[in-house]
Amino acid sequence: MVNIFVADWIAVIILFCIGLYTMIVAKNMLRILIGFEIMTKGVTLAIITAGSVNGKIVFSQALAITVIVIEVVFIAIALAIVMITQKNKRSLDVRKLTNLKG
Amino acid sequence: MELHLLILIGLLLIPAVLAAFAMDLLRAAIALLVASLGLALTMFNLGAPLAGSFELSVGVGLITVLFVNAISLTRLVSEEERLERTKDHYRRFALLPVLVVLIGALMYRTQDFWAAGLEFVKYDEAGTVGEILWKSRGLDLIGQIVIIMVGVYGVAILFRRGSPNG
Amino acid sequence: MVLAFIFVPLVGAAMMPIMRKFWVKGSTLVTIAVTLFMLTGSFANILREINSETGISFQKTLLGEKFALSIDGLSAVVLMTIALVTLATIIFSAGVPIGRRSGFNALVLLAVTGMNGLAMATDIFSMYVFVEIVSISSFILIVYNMDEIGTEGSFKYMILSAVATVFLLIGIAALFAVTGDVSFQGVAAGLSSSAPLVRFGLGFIVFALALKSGLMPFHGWLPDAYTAAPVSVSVLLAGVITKVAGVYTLMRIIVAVFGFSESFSNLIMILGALSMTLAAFMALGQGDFKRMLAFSSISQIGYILMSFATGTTLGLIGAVFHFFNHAVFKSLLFLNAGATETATGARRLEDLGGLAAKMPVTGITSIIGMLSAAGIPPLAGFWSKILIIIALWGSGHRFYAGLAVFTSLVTLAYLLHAQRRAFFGKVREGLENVAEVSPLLYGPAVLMAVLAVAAGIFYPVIIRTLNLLLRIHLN
Repeated sequence: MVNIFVADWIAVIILFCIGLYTMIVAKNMLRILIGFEIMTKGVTLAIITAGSVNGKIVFSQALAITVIVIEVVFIAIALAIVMITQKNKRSLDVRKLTNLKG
Repeated sequence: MELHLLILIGLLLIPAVLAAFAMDLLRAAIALLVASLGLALTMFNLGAPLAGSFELSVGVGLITVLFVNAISLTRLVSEEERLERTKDHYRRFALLPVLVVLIGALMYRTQDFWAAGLEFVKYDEAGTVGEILWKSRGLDLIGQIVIIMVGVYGVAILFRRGSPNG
Repeated sequence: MVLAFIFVPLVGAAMMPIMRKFWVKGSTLVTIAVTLFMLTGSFANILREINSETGISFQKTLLGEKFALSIDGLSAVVLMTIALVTLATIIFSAGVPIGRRSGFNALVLLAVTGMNGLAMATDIFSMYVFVEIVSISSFILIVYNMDEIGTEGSFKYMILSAVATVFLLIGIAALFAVTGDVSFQGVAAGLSSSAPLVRFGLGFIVFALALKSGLMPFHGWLPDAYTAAPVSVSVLLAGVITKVAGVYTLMRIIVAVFGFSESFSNLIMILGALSMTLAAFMALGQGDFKRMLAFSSISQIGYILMSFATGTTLGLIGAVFHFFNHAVFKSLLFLNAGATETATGARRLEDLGGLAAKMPVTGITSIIGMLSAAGIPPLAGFWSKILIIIALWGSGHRFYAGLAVFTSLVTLAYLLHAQRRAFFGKVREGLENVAEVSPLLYGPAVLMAVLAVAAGIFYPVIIRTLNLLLRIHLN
């Protein structure tokens, strides 16, 4: 049992690092959101793994479903904001987001 | 460690790296889809079928549709710009596989430290996911309703017609 | 009563699409009615708590396990602050042009639902759910005018908030793995084992909440979001949203779950001192009125968290008092910034000048707000700052106490600088035709100014009340 926990937890941390790296390095707004999605996969796995380790797998499924719903709403709103940016600036490059400096 | 566990984790991690790596955003979205599939299978393997199928329908279906929509609506890059970006892109992400391997190895070697001291208490839990959600996580259900309302209003507002001040 | 704080704003928000079809003006009235209801309800809560013998009088759970919500003294103060600032925001926004007003009101009400839930939540997972509700509705509110700066500020806020969310959830998952529960009591009871995962989880959660509250090394999104938001939204953001979603949540999780530890206190003390001092200096160099106020917010959040990190009775009272005061004077200042922006169309300080003659009410209320923020007696800000400084000194953090005194001088300097630039002196060319804004715009500012003065004059009453309200946390 501990083995599965260790393996999955390593996967969680790796997914987390891939996502974070992508969010830091990426220049395209959509790719930043893809990085966030990768991190979310890791989070969902973390919750299910935690549940399977302490035997509360049913409870953890309830939590995971809530997390998935919330992330979908988050992504929908984020993509709407990305599309408004595209309409305003004709570009999705985060390096061009420089109106607010000072 | 069982073989199928490794395969499942591979199915989760490799598409995730590819999603970060793929120059074409559409391919990245498809890699994300495969990663979602891997996650759903891992969940089935861990004994969480309901969350797994939820992830299957939402992560594989809905989010991919949203991403593909957004990507196809925002593509405006010319060919030269694209080539220029490709070179730049792979240079920026070159470090990622190294990082993944390093962190994986580090976590694996130190597992005695961070997984130590855990007492795996076994709870006997009765009921199905629905019963748990309804009986003890009612607040989260309300939260889900509120957040879906936020999403609906938000999309309605952000795509409203007419002048911004009208 | 407990559930009403969630359901009344929710029903109000659900009514908005109907109102839009039939009675557009009514949507604002409904929103005001909802906030007034919340205000009276939270007053009633505070009165009940004071008059009760035990001090945990209405920490009750409704309907068994189903809706685990509770109100104690700390939540009662936060609920009242939320209602107050929302009322000011809604009245102010009624006076400025805004697209699809019913939708705006609905989103404000949904954000308020989230904040109320956050104030009353009793488990870490519900806390995450409500934090997400608050953040997602504030992304939409920031980008409400769909202009370039709006999308930019909103996107930056969104990305840092997403990172914070992931940190928070991994922390929650780690704690859940070890303790097998997500309620405050269950997690606190299961924390006895000192597994590395517990420290890991605590670290992740504290980092996430520090990011959400905009402490100094992680503050990048905050000035952008505040500056980019439409005027009425930045009142709500600065007044309550970041403080409830970040500072209050951090306080609650430490008080209810982890307890004070030496290393945590030191960490928060250092981060708080860093934000307090550096943000004050950065505010000195700002040319944009709202951006200066945003840096001032970071600095004041540093005060609140330092006071909280002392872990003493006085520190907690000072933190909660300053929490309330900061909500009052910062929303007052943002209301003034919004009024000047609406009247003149300028947001840079150098484009303003001599407005006190043209806009007397805005000028006078902004003087009150700035003096309260700078901690000048007898205004409310002075008493909470002096409490914080005494708490820091008394708990042996003498260096930090000195730093707090020094920073309040810097605060006075940048606020007076802004005041002189915007409101005093000769009327700037091109601003001769500026007139006082409508009563809808300065009404809430007057209300907040009266509160700042009243809380300063009646400070013994407030401190005694807070002492009674917070007694269950003080042992």
